[in-house]
Amino acid sequence: MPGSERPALIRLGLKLGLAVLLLAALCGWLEWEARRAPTSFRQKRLGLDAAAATVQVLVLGPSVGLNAVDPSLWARPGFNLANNGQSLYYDRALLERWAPRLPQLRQVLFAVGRPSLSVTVTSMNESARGFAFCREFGIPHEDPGLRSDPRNFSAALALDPFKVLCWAVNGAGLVLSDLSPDGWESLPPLDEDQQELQLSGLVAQMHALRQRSMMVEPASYGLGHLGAMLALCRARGLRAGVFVPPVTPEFAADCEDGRPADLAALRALCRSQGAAFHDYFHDPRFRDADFADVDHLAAPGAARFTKILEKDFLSNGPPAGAAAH
Amino acid sequence: MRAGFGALAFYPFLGLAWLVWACLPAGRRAAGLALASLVFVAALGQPWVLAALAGLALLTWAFGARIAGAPHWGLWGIVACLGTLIAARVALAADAGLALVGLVGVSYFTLQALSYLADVMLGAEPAAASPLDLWLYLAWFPKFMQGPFERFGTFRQELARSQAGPRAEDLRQGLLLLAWGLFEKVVVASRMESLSAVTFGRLDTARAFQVWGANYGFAAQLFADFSGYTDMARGISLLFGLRLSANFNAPFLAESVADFWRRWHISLSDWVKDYVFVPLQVWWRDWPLGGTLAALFVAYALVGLWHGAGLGFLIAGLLQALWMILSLLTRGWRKALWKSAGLESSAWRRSLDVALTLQLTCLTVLSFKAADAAGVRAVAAACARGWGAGWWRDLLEGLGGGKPAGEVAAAWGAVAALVLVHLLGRRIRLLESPAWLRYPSYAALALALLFFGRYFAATGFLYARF
Repeated sequence: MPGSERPALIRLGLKLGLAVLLLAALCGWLEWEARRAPTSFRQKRLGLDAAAATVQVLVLGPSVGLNAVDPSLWARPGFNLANNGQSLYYDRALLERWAPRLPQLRQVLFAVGRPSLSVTVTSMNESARGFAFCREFGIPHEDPGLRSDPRNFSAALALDPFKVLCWAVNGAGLVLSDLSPDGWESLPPLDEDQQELQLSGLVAQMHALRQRSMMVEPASYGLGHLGAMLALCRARGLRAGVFVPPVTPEFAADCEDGRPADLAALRALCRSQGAAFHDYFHDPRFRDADFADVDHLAAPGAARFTKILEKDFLSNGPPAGAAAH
Repeated sequence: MRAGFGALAFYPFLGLAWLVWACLPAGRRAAGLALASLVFVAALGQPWVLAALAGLALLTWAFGARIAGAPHWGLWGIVACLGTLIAARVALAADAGLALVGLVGVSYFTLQALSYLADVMLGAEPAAASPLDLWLYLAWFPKFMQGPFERFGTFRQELARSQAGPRAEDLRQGLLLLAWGLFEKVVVASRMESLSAVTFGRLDTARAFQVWGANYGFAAQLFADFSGYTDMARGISLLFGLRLSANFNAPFLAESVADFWRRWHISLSDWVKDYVFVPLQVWWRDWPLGGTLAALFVAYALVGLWHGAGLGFLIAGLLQALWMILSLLTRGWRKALWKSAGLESSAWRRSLDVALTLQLTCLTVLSFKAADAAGVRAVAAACARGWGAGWWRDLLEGLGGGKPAGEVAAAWGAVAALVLVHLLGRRIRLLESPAWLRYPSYAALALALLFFGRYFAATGFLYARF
């Protein structure tokens, strides 16, 4: 190189080195904070660790399962491992990892919401949760492209910068403050005066989400994961049950497009795998006052629904291999 | 963003190649660059592209060396270049899978070989003394996949310049260009892709203004993607002391379609102008206006087909020709109109021209989403739906893709930052600005790359498929 360039090159190298060090320090801090921040996933893992020796019934599913089932109301010990943004891919990975570690486990219930068969954690704009699943449960991210990001857990910054910065700084957004020791999240009902207005607004919001961003995979994607879980239950001698939780009538009417086909596929799958299936989607026993929003049950509704599940699946549930449809 | 600049392995390779180049003695540096390019092309895992490139470089050099005594060798060389390009295009049209992975760089190196032969035949350039020079001209790894198109004479001068070894000023400029190109790709293009892909993924139910809104996003994505690649290629080349041509000059601020083509893919526009349009215009000089219009028509049809042998690309090329011809034919009338309204040089008139040109350009860009006949039908059907009330809501939905407000704000905020930098870039040269402006700007760029870059969920560079 030209001799006269040497001092300028050395100066530039030093400045670049300093800049890289500063950026590495910032990344390291974010990474550290993101790993340390408490989340609902850690709450769930610690809760299940504590209950592992006694759990007989395990509940899996997305938020509609998380808010709908309070296992403390059952006669048998149970744990609700459903969580926000938990697609069937994660249900399957959790079951594969936890079933061998729960010695008393006899039955597994799967909550399948209206869009569950077609969504991924990324399509719900919940990619940050994918990194929490990886950190707490060792499950690779559902989006294969994100598995190789060298920024590891703070890679979620790439997709949800605002949410994850918040998460890294104070752990907000992913912690469930009203989580019971059995893994159930209690939600308050909607304000009675605003109920109708809020619900119709939420129906429109959910409609837009479903139409444009949430349902990115064909239903066969979710059915594949569910089929694998039912087969795993059968192989381990566990009774399996699949249920569709209730929703508000207005939301149910808005979701009818494509539902009969999904429902038929679910029924056929459960029948073939010897699993019980119940559809509570249009259940008239639930009114608007039972809901926290269009498809999540509030505490009073959840209490009633949990007892219904006990009656339909737990009390006289069929043995493994025989189905009630 | 998985191959070339998009592969993680590229960056250790780049560092190693730079170290080898910097440490080599001056007389051997070109060989170092040639070897680095060979490794890069071989690592793409497309052996027949490597074979075609090496074969064409050797043939072009051999034909070029014989042109002085027998010009017909140049014609044979041009036939070989065109044959390679047409064979690649036919293979691309016949096999969509091959199109995405198996034809990297062909459109670029064949046209550059062709321009070399034409320049030597016309006596504009002496023939290359060594096949190594020609190999580097065609295969120089930063520009191999997506250009920019370079002239052999200019490139040869830059190669001679790079023999002097690393310069601090080149490194500063190169690193800044590389970082800015990365911003354009992983922040702007990748974020816009996640928005526009929603509507284009549902063309069967999408409505006209949703498609149009999403198309604005796609146009921003296309520009940021291609401009990002070019800036990265220019930045990397500068690290090695080679200055490549600028390919873009804020094209979405163009005031007319002709102005747009002076700002968009400048190296291709210049190539088509010099080797297609001007020769045809001269050929048809006895037919002044008709000859010019016909030359425009042929030149833009070829630009369309250069992108792919599909109906959508042909339509795109013909649309551009149509805009150009209409612009040419109505120029006098429009000038008189503005003059009579007293708006000839007003900012309002310019803004209106920019807005109108943008609409025409976006209409052409839509063809990238309708590359074949089925795509054209799907886009046309979507554009025929939903022309009633609520069009503005559809437009907003198309712009945002139904994504959460934060994600939409981040994507369009990045586009706004891009436009702002283009506007400010005309007045401020960052590298020469005072430290109080320079260092915060560097920090903002680094933080934007860190926080807002979508590195691993993104697809490859769009123009690499051409």
